[in-house]
Order: sequence, then C-alpha cells, then structure tokens
Amino acid sequence: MSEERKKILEMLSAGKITVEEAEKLLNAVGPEGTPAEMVKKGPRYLKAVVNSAGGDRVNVRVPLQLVRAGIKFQALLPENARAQITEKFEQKGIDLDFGKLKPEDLDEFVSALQELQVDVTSENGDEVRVFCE
Amino acid sequence: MIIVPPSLAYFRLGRFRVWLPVIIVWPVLAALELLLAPIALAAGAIIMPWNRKKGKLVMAAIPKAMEIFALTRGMELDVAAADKTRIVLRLL
Repeated sequence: MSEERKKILEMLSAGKITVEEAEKLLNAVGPEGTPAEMVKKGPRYLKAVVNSAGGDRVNVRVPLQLVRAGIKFQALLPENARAQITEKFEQKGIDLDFGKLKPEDLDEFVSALQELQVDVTSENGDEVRVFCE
Repeated sequence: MIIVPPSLAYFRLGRFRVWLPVIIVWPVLAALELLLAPIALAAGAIIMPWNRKKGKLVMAAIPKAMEIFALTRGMELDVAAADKTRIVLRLL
C-alpha cells in the first residue's frame, strides 16, 4: 500500500475526514495494484547499434531484465572463474571487478544503465550508439 | 512479476527465413526442469560441505538457466554485412 493511501486511511480512522472526502482523496491518488503488479515504467531494453563506414550494420537489443539476471548470476560463480573473467576484462582495458559488485549495487547499476547513452562517430564514419529504450 | 518466455522466434540467414514456434518447446523444457532440478539439488547438497559456492551454483543452475531463457523475450540480433548478407534473430 502506498504512503498516500495509508495516510488517507489513517485520517479516516482518526475521524479527521469523512468517508466521502476519503473516497475523493483515494481517487485522486490513483488506482493501485498489488506490489507484484506494480511495474516500474522505464526503458526495458539495452540497445547497441553499429553502422560501419564499410556498410556493415549490427543491431543488438537485450532486455534489461536479462542484464540484471546475468549480473546476479555472477554472484554464484566460483572465485577462480570470476578472477579469470576479471583478468580478461583487464586485458581489454576494462577495469571491472565482478567480485566487488554486490547485489545492492545491482539496482543502482541497472538504473545507471537506463540513463546510459553512447553516441560515437569515428573519423572514417563508423557510428556506435548504445542506449536504453 | 510473471515472466513469459519467448513463444516465437524469427530467424533469417540471407534469403532463408523461418518463424519457429518456440512455444512448443515449453512443455519439453518444463519436463526437463522437473527431471533435472531434483538431481541438481541433490548434487548441490552433496557438494556444499566441501565447496559452498560450487554447491550453490549446481543447485541454482537449472532454475537460473530457465530464468535466463524466459528473460530472452524481446531479444533481437540483426547483423547485415556490406555484401548484403544478413543474419536476424528475434525472440518474441
């Protein structure tokens, strides 16, 4: 139950507002589903678009929920596997230690990902775009 | 939140195009999960006293694999080369 709805019902039980006034306020707050039905509106996919000057084109769209599940899954990986993945990332110049990524950081990471926008055009005309939609 | 796995897949390789009813695979996957999940749970429980992480990984492998399959709904891959060769995979 949302905070606004709780306050309205508390005021009604305390006799501060009438039933009609409570009804008006509840309608103004808006309909509410169960917590399981409340879905955060926002970007649902991570999209990467690459257009090379030579005419090659790559379009990849991945559901953000899949990204989240994939990151959660890494928490189950054995230490040596994670160390190997971190090493491979370092070889590519990416300083990302999956071992330090905690589940509570996950929401923040995915939220940050939703605001991510990369738009790169190289000298020879290659274009790379990464964004959420 | 109910996660609905992909029910249709569109695959294109050059001029070859096909729509695949992934939905027919659901009962097969469900049966496989029912069959393998208890085995994975038992194996994980046996491994856990020696290696907790590996034990957890084995126990979670089957449900996680199903979850990842279900979450691929909406995934798209479209690669077109300069010579007009095109590969498309869409999970709907």
